[in-house]
Amino acid sequence: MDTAAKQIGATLRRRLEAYENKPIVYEYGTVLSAGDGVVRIAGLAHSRYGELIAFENDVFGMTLDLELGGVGAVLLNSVDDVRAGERVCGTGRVVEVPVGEELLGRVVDPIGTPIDGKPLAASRMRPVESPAPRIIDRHGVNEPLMTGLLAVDSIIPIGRGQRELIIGDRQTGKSTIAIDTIINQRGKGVLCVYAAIGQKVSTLAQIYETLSAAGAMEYTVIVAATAGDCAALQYLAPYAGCAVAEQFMYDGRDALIVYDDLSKHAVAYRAMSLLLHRPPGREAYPGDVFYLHSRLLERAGHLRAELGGGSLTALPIVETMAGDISAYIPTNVISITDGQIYLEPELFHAGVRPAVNVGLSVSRVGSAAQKKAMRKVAKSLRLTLAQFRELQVFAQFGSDIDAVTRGILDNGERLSETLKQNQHEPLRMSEQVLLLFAVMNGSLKDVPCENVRAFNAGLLHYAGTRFAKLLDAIEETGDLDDAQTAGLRECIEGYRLTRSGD
Amino acid sequence: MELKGELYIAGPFGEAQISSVGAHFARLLGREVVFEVRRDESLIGGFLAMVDGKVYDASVASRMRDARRHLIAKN
Repeated sequence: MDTAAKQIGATLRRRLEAYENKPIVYEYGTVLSAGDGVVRIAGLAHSRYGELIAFENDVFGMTLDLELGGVGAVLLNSVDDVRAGERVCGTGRVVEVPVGEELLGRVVDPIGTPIDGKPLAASRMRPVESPAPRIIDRHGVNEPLMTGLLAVDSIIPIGRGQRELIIGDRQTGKSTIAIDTIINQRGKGVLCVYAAIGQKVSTLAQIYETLSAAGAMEYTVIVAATAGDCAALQYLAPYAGCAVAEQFMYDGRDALIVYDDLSKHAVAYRAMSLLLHRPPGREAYPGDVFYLHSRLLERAGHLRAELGGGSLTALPIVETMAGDISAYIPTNVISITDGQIYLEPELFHAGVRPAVNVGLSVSRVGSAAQKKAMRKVAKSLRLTLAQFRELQVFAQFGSDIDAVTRGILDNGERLSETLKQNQHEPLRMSEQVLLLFAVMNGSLKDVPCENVRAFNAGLLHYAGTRFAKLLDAIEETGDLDDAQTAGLRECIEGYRLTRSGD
Repeated sequence: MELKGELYIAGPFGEAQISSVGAHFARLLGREVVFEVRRDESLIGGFLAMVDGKVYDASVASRMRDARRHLIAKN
């Protein structure tokens, strides 16, 4: 006790000796005009782009326009507390957020203030904007990031370090895919960040509840700027979320970030830019709206082993209007990302959930990261489904269908049924392999279409109780050798026998 | 051409002290500075000057804030 007190005393004395007592000198400016969250300032001649500036009454802003004789800035935590003539001080720091594992399980706003009512003690800070990893710092994507969704993991596999866009109309299950992916990272060592941009507070509360109930908040951070927050905060939210996730990557961990969603982000940036009198371009978005998203998404990636081997996977979400994926923001983000998952309202309302349109969805790099076992059972999946969809349209007109066509249609229907999955119920990789193995080898031929999901659920339960070792082995090796293939056959046959006994 | 500035002080300050601050700034900036003097008790002691787009904060309050940050800083 005494030695501890002495130690503390010694430390304080040492620090006091090192403390330089000199006046603090910094720049100040004067507010010329303020309105709609945008401020024009005279002075601050040496401020940096994106610097945090302090007004009176503890209001903070961020500089965005550096001009001769003054700067343009946006307010971060208030929209009406600043008056013309007021003094503004530069802080010499760019906007920073607290980072590190202390944030796990927490909900913070884009400047790192906790909004879940608990104090936050984070020891490290990181600038909100930072350059993306360089070419030589990067490694190829070679490790899968399992979403737990059969339709995605089999046909549109995502790798760690990849950027995969989730795109679709409103109410088609975009966020659900992202939330399911976060839930599925439990026990897989992937730390998650959910950046909510311009969402309703009620929606956010619901997402928090869902993640907590699934035990996913333990490894998740929510960075949120809700619909009620000013445009500047909504603009900052994805960058702040990225800074938090990026720190995990540089610490050698695997991280996942969801941007929900970037269309609202672009809208917030448009509002800010127009108020700053920047010239409007297509759809009134400013000229640098492409760079807005490209610099954000470039920060995802997989680092070389020498740099810790961490990865940051990004799942941006973009909302389309009436299925128009050729609008400005969707085409921009499609061209930046390494593929997209396209969700269709028609499929959604027809009960195909997740409503993934297999034809328009691609993953440009993920297949290299797919586990061998999955690759073996899923290799002809896309073709089978494409054939089925083509014939399905064709078969609507004619009643006379030959046996081969009938076979493809029957098989396709069972496959579509198998790909349906309830929300928040992720499947393990081995379970996905088992289901695909069963349907691709025609084991479901004599099961009526409406019973396919019940059959699959039963099969998973049966395999989980009687063939747990086989599933674990597939999970561990990631491959499917002859003995394991025989094991899967045996499992499916065994289950079919129990059903025929009913 | 002389510079205009604002000088904030915490307590009673003699003319001599104010002119010595003025002389110091004249040396620092190479130009005469005419201060408008104002009282600000929140400074506790010392002064805060605003001249030529810069704040020179030599108040006791800001030094205490600074020392506090210095003492509790990690590492």
